Amino acid sequence: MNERIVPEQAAGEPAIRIRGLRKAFGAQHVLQGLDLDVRQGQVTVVIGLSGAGKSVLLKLILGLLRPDAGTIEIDGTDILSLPPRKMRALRRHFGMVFQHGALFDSMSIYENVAFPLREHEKLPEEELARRVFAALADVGLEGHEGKMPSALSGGMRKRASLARALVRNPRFLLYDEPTTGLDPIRTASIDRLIHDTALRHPEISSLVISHDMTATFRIADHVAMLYDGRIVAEGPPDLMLHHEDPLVQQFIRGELSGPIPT
Amino acid sequence: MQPAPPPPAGHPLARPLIQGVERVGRTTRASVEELGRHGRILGLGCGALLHPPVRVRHWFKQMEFVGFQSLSIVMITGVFTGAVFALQSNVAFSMFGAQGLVGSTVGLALSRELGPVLTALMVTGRAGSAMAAEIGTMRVTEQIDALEAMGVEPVGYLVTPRLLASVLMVPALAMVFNLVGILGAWFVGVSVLGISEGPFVARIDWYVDPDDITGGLTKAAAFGLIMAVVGCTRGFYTEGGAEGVGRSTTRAVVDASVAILIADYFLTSAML
Repeated sequence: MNERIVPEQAAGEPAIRIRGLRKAFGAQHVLQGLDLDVRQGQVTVVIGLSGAGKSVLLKLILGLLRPDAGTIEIDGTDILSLPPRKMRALRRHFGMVFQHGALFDSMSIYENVAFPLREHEKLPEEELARRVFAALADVGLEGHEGKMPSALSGGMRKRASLARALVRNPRFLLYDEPTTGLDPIRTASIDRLIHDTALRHPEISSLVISHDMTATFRIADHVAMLYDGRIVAEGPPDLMLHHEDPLVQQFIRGELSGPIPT
Repeated sequence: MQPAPPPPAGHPLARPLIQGVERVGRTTRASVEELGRHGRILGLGCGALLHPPVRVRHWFKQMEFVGFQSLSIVMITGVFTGAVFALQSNVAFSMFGAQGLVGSTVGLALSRELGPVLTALMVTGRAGSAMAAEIGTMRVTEQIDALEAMGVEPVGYLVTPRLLASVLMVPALAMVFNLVGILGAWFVGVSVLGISEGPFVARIDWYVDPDDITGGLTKAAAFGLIMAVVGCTRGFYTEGGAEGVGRSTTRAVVDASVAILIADYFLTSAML
C-alpha cells in the first residue's frame, strides 16, 4: 500500500467532536461519558469488544439515536439541537458502510448506487450514469452494475456499499465493522480499499468501527479504544501498539489473561 | 435471557395482588405503546403526502402490487362466495317459494358486507403480510437504517405509497368482488337452480341502492387503511432477525384481520 502521511499534528481541527456522551438501553449503560475527536482528513478507528457500543456510537453520530447526555459537534454545530429536517439534510454529507452492506435487495447494484443521487439531486440520466460508473470503478466493481445484491459475495457487497456511500462525494465516511465475516484475502482487499479511498479523497474524514486488529493497524491514522463506555486510550497506531495500559495490550494481542474478563 | 424481577415487597398475602397489578400495568403500557406506534406510522405516513418528494412511480408500483396482483385471488373468492351464497339462500327462500329474491339478497349482502370484508381479509393475507415481511426484512438487514443514513425519511419512502395504494385499491377490488360475486350467484341461480332470469336480475336492480354500494366501498377504503397501517407498523418495528420477521408477518395478518372485523361492526352501526 502507498503511505498516507497525515501526522496527528498536521491533521486539521476535529471535524467531529464528541464530549461526555452517555447512552443507556434500560439498565444497560452502553456509553458512559465518551469523549472522541475525529480529525479532518484522518482515518480514525475505534476498537473495542463486541457489544461495547461501537455501532451505537455511529448511530448517535448520524442522529439515528439520541444520547441521554453529552454533545456531538459536526464542524462546530451541535447536532443534538438540530430539528429533524436539518438533521436529515446534515446526514447527506455522510456516507455509511454498513456491516453487511445494507444494500436494497430489490434493486440492482446500479440502482443501489444511483439511489442517493436520485433522491437528492436532479441529474440528467447521462450525468447520473457517469457518476454511478465512476463510483463503481472507484471500488473495482466495473461490469457488475446489472447484478442483484444476492448475486454478490460478502466482499463485493461491501464494495458496492462503499460505492453508494461515495457517490455523493461525502465529507464523512463511517464504516461499521467493514471486514466482519470476510476471509483474510477479502479482508485485506477491503482494507486496501479503505486505505486507497482515504488516499484518493483526502477531504473525507473517516471513522471506522472495528475489532479486527490487523485491519486496524493497516488503515488507521488514529486509534481509540472503547471499553466500559469510555475511550480508555487513544493515539497513533504505533503508539497504541506499545501502549502501557494492560487493557490495550490484552485487547490488541487477543490474550485471555488480563484485566478484561473473558 | 432477562433476569427474573425481584419478588414484590410487603405482606406475603399481598404478593399475588401486587403481581397481578404489575401484570395489568405492564400489559396496559405495552398496549398503549402499540397504539402509539400505529398512530405514529399513520401520522407520519399521511404527513409525508404533504411534503416533497412525491414518489409517483412508487405509488403506481404499490397500486400494481396491492391491486392488480390481488385481482385473481379476489375474483376466485368472489365467484365462489356468490355461488355458495346463492345455493344457501335458495334453500331458505324455497321454503316459502320466494326464490326470486335470491339475486337481490346476494347483491345486498355482497355490496354492503361480504364484498368489502372478504376482499379486505383476502388482500390482508396476500399484501398486508407482504408489507410486514418486506419492511421487517429491511429493518433487520439495516436497509431502513441505510435510508435514514442517506437522509431519506423512511416512513415517507416505505409507508406512504403502501397506505395510498391500499386505500385506493381495496375499494376497487371490492367492486370487482361484488361484480364477480353476483355473476357467480347468477350462474348458480339461473343455470343450476333454474330460477327465472328476469326476476333474479330485476330484484337486484330494485333492492340494491347506490348508497349500499358507496357505503360498502367506504368501508373497504377504511379496511385498506387498517391493513396497510398494521402491516407497515409491524414491519417497521420488527426485531430479532428472521424469526422476528416471521413473528411480525403473522401478527400483521392476525391483528389486521381482527381490527377489520371490529371496525366493520362500528362502521356499519355508524352507517345504518
